[in-house]
Amino acid sequence: SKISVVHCFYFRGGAELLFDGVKKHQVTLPCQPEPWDIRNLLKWIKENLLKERPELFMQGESVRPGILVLINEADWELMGELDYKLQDQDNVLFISTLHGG
Amino acid sequence: DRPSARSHPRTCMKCGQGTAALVIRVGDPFCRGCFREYFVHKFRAMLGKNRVIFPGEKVLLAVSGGPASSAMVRQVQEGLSREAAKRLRFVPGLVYVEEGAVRRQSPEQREQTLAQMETLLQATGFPYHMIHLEEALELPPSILQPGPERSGPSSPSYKEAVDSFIQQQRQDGDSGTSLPGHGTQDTPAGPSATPCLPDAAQTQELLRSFEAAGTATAREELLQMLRTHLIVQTARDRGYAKVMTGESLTRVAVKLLTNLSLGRGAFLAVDTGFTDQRHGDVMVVRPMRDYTAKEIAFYNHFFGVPTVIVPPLFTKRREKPSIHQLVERFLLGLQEEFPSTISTVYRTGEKLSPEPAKASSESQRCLLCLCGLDIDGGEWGGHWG
Repeated sequence: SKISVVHCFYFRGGAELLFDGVKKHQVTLPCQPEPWDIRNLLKWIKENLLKERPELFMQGESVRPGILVLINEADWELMGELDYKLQDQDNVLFISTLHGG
Repeated sequence: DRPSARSHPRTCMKCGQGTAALVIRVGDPFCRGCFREYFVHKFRAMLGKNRVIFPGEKVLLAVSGGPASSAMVRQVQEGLSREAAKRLRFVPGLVYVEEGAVRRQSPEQREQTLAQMETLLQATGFPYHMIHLEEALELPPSILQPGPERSGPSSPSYKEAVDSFIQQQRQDGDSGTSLPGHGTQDTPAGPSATPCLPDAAQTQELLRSFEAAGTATAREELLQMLRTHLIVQTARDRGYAKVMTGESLTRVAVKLLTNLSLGRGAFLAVDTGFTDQRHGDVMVVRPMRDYTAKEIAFYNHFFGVPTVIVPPLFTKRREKPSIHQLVERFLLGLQEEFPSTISTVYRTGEKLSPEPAKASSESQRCLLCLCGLDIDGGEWGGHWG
């Protein structure tokens, strides 16, 4: 479909420090032929939202160990992690459990 | 490379009905309701199993604003409010150490953090104490020695204490452990209610000490030591014989391997165990050590536990990471591929028990960490000549 989808991304637990301290981001992802799964979403976040030190948020194609991901208030481990396909209005929350640095 | 995406059934394994909200341990999906019960039960079981908190006694909760200590405060609140039979029966106070000076916060940011923390502490209704890390510069030398232990033939066993508490309650007509009506700022009276920042000179002196620490590792250790000393001194000054700190399972596992790397292998039990009695008259208790960082983060999110996040300890440009950071990265990274890593480290640590105190005089204790000097070598001593 050619309709863009709107999402809210939240960053907590210190993760927000990597995004200018902004905890909530409301985003319209651009249309593209590839599906918007979490894998592609992370690439997009790295290029468009992450303000500093990408290695503190990401490792390889996934989030850095210690960063929790919730999709619509549920553990992403229940949803297929990186393979989960974003639906319209889905929100994704990233909580850092790391102790700084 | 991550292993292939984990995907678990979406029904709670405990009640078989609720929609699973998170995966606990290795592959156990729980719904929100069952998770809450699991979380709350674990706290009570931890205290019940270990039986070191006597009913009616004052316990100082060390709060950092971080997720684990905030979850700990919530568990204490939950526990105190339960119906009489299962109610927790101690008298909590809170202590917060403001560390903005060494976390590169401006005075305005420090005041903002203090204001947020004060709101949080006040909302609990417990007496609270807010102190600055700079106050470590004024600690008495007595902090470098254990205080006199209270145990002796006259002090009751846990069971005796519980029995006498219940008897007393019956006599009093069970008015219950009453909480103060609202949070009380438990410091000497001053003109303003909000704690103000320390002298710039004191902040400078503190920063000098931290800058003098040659490595990020040493700096981290210095921070932990000063914080502990301040908390123990507060406990002593205010008549608390017990302190609760919020180290999570994840943090305990990291601390275990970090301390091993730092040459503190002999003291792993006291550094990471449930109880830490090195200070003598003040016992430190770690009731959150059975909770993973993930469980705590989910609990706080689902049930609205407030936290105040502060920046990390400052680092110098081009400085190598601390051993603490490296160990954390190592363990969390390994955990991705091998999801039992952290719990295995933790359970190995559980098997360690503290050596009975051998130090018969002060000269045999480390001044800074109060542990007995490990000069004996134990049974291996003879082998190394």
